[in-house]
Amino acid sequence: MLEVENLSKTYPGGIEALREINLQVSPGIFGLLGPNGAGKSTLMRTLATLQLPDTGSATLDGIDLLKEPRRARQTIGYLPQDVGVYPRVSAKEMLDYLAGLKGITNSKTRRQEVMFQLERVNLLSVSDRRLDTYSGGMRQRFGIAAALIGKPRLLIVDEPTAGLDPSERRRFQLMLTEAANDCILILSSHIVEDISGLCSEMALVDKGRLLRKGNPAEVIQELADKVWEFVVPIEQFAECRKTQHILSWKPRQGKILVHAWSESGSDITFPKAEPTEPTLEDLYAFHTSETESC
Amino acid sequence: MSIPAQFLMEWRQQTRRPFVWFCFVAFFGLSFLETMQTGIQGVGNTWINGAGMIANRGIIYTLLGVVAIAGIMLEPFVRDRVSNSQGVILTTPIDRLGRGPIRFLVAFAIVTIATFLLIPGMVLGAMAPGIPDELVGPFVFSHYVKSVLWFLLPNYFLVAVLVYCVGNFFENRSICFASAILLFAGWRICRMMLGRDIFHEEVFGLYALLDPFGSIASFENTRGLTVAQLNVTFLPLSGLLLYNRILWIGIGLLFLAIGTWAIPTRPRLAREKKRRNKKASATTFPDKPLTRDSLQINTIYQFWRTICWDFRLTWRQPAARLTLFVAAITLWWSASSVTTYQFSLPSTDILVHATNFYFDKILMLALVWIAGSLFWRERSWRVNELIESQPTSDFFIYLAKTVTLLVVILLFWLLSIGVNLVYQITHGYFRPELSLFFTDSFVFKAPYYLWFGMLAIALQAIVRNRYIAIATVLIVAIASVLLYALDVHHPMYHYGRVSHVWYSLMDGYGHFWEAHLWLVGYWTLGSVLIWLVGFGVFRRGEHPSSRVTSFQQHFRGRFAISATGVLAAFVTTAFLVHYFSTTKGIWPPTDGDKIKAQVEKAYGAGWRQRLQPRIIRIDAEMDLYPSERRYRLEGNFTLKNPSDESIEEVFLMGTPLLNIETIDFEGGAELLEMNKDLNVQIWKLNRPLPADGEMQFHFVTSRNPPSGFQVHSSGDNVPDVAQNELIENGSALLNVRLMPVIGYTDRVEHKPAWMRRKYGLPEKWEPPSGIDSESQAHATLHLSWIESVTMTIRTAPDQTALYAGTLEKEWKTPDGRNAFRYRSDYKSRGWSAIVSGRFQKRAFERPDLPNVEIYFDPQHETNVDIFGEALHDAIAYFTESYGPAPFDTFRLAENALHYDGFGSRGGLAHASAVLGWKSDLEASGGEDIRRHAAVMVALAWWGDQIIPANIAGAKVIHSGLPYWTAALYLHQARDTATDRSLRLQELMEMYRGRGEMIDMEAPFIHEFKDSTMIRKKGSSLFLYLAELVGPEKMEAILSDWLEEWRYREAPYPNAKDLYAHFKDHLPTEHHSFLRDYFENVAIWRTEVIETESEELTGGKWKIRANISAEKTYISGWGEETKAQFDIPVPVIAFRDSAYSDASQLRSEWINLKSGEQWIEWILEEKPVRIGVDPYLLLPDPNPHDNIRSVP
Repeated sequence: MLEVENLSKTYPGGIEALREINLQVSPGIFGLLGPNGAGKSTLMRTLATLQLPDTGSATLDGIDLLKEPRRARQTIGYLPQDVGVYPRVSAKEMLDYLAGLKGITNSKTRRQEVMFQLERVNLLSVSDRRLDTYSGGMRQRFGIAAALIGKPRLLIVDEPTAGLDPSERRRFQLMLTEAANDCILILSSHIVEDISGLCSEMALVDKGRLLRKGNPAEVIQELADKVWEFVVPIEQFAECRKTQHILSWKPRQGKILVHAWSESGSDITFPKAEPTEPTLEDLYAFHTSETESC
Repeated sequence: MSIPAQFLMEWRQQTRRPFVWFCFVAFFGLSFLETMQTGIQGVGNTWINGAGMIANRGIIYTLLGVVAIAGIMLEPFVRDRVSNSQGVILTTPIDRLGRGPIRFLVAFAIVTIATFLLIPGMVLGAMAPGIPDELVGPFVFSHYVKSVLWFLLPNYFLVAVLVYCVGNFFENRSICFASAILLFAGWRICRMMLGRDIFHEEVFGLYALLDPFGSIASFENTRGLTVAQLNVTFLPLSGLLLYNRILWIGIGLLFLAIGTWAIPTRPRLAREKKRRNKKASATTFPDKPLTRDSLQINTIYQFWRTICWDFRLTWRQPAARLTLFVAAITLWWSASSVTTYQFSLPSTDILVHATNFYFDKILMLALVWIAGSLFWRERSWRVNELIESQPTSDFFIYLAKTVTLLVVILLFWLLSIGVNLVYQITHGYFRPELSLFFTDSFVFKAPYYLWFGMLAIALQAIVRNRYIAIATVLIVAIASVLLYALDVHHPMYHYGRVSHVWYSLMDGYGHFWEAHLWLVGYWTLGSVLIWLVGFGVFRRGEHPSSRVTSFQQHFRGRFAISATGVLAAFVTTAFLVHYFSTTKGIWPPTDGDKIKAQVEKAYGAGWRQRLQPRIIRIDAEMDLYPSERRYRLEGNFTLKNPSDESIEEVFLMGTPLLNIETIDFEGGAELLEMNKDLNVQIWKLNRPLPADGEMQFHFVTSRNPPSGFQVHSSGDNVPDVAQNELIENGSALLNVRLMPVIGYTDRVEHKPAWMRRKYGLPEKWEPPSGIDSESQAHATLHLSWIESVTMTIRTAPDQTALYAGTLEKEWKTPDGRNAFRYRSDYKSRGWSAIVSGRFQKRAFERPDLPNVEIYFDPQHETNVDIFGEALHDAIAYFTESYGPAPFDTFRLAENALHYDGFGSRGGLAHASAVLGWKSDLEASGGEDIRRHAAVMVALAWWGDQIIPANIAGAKVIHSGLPYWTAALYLHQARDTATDRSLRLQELMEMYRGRGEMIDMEAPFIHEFKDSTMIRKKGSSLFLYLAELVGPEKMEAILSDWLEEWRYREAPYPNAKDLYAHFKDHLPTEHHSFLRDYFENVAIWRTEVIETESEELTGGKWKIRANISAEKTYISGWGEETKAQFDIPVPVIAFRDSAYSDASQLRSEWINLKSGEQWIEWILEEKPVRIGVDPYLLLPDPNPHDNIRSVP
């Protein structure tokens, strides 16, 4: 169990990255959803022991992540948001090095573990290739292999699918699902689909604050009966944006399909407005922008 | 986008780079500090803002600026790839012009600005306070502009276009830097191939053209110039320099064209190296799944893995391997240069001296760069968070980086040993002295870099900015220069410096070990302390806590105890080093020049003209304890009053740090004054010494090493070993420095005006004159002809002691020490070396000649026979030419390198271990040994048989005659081609030295200072005269003169006597030349301007040659006044390119006049070359134009 209590962090310059964050996370995939700059990466780095908060605590199965960072790191796997690679080094060499640091001292075991992880992320056939020749998706897969080395109890994955093509993303989601079998996997993303598709629990954060927490299906119920769907001709869309509380919209056959928030629907001025099931995207938009998203 | 807009955009890009602004500041600061330092440390009259100095700066700043220029230039050409913006840029309408030439022009504009910032730096640096007035001339702006146009901009252009070309091809920073370094390497190769101190004249033109920076070509027009000419004459853009500039600018334009062609038009894909097809190994998977419980965090294992990982990454960086390669090349150059200089065998003790010539700079740059890379590369490659989230200890990460760097530094030193060993083997030297290599490298030299390595890592942690940390380390490294300029010499205050010492094969590291080990301890603790501070503020993560907070968080437990312990140990060691080296040692090192000036100030006016007794007999006993480095000398002088007045007071002086224990005048005396600082005593005799009277004088002197230890700095200009200091093996002390000096001596007086001003003495110095001075011996003022000398020396049981005279007795003392008694009952100068060492002896005999005995270190027997033969050949020549030898046995002993040079007095010569003993006979043919032998014998012949009067012109007899007659002997003994080649080198060396002289050149008749011009230029003039009238004639003239003055009592002969003797014995038509030889400072220039040939009937040839001749008189610091050329000069037609009698078709002495003149000859065959003074008899600053081929 990961327990976070009253975690706060203010950067020099007065930017409040975390404000009184409280979380309890059980094994499984836990999603952190929030826009860029919401504080997700600060929280992830703090949990990965790479940053100290100003106040608060974080423990993982009794290990204090802040006071016993080295002990904590034995149980943590971390895939940073913007991970690079060493040039002139192969995937096998680098994983072997990381495996050694993780405590796999027996060379045979280490070799097997490296091969296992590379096979798991489908990089075995290119394991001798230099990492700097890998594509973006291959690097991300390598990153997850690196994070998984040493069977972490807490796997922290920061914005892993950004920039991946759809098939790579699906492959990645599958990998994460498999990886979360016996650990806590914290997945941070601003991509709603990732969270809604993968996470059994999630938290919505913005401006350093924890806005909502729970099962994605449950948290969206907050907007039940308050999301209205209607179609707007393109030429009226500008007017619509001014008058309606738009949560999301998408082009559809020369028109715009709009989701708007309304308490009763009476203030919707466009025809054929129907109440609809809220989505996580609606909730995300409702709390983070209060205007619209696309 | 319009072209101006592209220019503007590129300009903004460049000027936003901190590196560019750093370069602007660095260029200005460099020129300012460097000029200021040169001025503060400068001597003589070379203006720091003179033409020669500014031209020189143009080359120096080229070399120092190469890497910075590469850094400015490469960015636009690697920018797109590094910032992953290739796709964006290549799809914009910006064409090749925008991505190539425009970027190049803007970057080069930045380079040009940086270059011009050197000018205000140089100008302001020359205005800095503390620079002596004579070192600053009038400001001439054109000198600065020419330096920029002749050297800096063309050279930087070359670097720029090379980087442009390579950058467009590879888009890789390391390769760009490497290409610039290779250009630098090209310059070094040319310089090294040309020779370090002595140029190989035959390949001068070739390397002058190949040198990419034009430095060699600049010598063509400057090496014949005097100090005064160099101050005001900026070298013209002509001759080799012009061709060099045209050649390399042309090559630069070619690079520019190739580089523009190579501008990428589509992104280059990273290429995977082809790997050998490894046998595919079957992939194995875990038999059972890995469990968390099976993970064992082992800190030591992690530490080891991290070191291996860091080292692997460092090694895989191409720049690291390139740096090692460049370092290996420079080591090879250093080895070749040092052996070229001395014609020496590549023995280990010589190679270890040379190792640091260039290697140190490369290693320093490499270590600061690698430290930055080790510290920041995870961040640069964005793997820092992945790596830092691993369960590793902060301390071991920090330690692993440090250890990796230190291992790299040690590898560099291993490389130095490897390269030197390979050099030895490839040059046929098969005595690998590994223990010396390892001791010198890892105990004496490598620690400095290890300490800097720790500093570099610590500063990266403390400063938290890669480039500022690098700059800080470099500032610490060069701060030494400024500290020296500020007279802060103690190594304690120069980071990483230890007591300066050179290895001597005879004496090893001598007594310097103790100081070295103390300072090693001091700096090790100091660097560990800084390193611990670095760890204290070291934090992982993107947003670390402040330094203070980090330190407070770390400062607990074992770290706090360790840091406090190291701090305490460091402070204690610092205190002890300071105490033992200053309070208990000798600090500052005794500055002999300063003491001399103080003696003159205090006693010169009162005692210079007061006649003092002369020593006429010496009887002394000396106990040497080499292992304890102490001696005691008890002696008795017989003093004689040479004047016709009685002497009531006696002035006594001792060399610095000589302890005068006892003074006892016969009849008693009262001590009137004792100045311990200056080691001066004045005594009033109870019984005045009557005119022509004699009295006994008893004394005891000693010297004991200080109870502390002795430290030296490399910048204090004080010799490592004082001339009256005993060392453990291979001492060579001069006896007069160990005995009290009777009377004031003008040897303490500084002669050059700048030096007198420096020490606050009246600027004008006049040589002594008058009958008293004519009756005083130059160089040994208190000695006249000594009637008898007895010297008993007792030394260590395994050492031999040598002294001038006949070895009368040799025995063992009751305590087992070796004792020797030397005696001379014939007239002698009374001077002698006192030599003691663990010697092997070899004797040489020839009928009717004195025996030759050579005392050498057992490791150096290779050339002993050559030395013996050469000495006997020289003695035979001098006996035949100038009469009997002034010794019954000539002894030559080897002395430790810790005393430089050689001497020859009273039939006992000594030569430092690097002079001839290790000469590579295959390279030199033994010529250097023959030269040393000739000079040693000549010094004895003239110095021991004639006392020069202590008046103006004394050096003609003291230094001139020995060198002139040695030159005449060698001239006749060598074959023509060898003689010409060696003298050409000597001539060029002399003229280069003349441009750096620290005192004015004086006519020989007035010269009182020891001047290389008397030795070298005088030798040249003497050879001219000998060739003109015949060598036998000159030998006969000198033989007569020696006969006339041999052992003559006062008044002694002087230069005027010799001059008059020459005039009396040479025809009047040569008197004009004699006048120039002795009374003027003259140089002669000759040149074959043009040759013509015409075939006549009968197979004959009409040959015409246009010859120019010029004579000038030099005054002051080198101002020239034209005079009438009025001497005959040999003009020779050669049938081939050889220099031999057989090659000469016609040779004729022709009376040349000033200006151009045609000569016309009808010859039986067509000559290949015509030469005027082809054998270089006259001192011509440009001897290369003396010969021209015939069309």
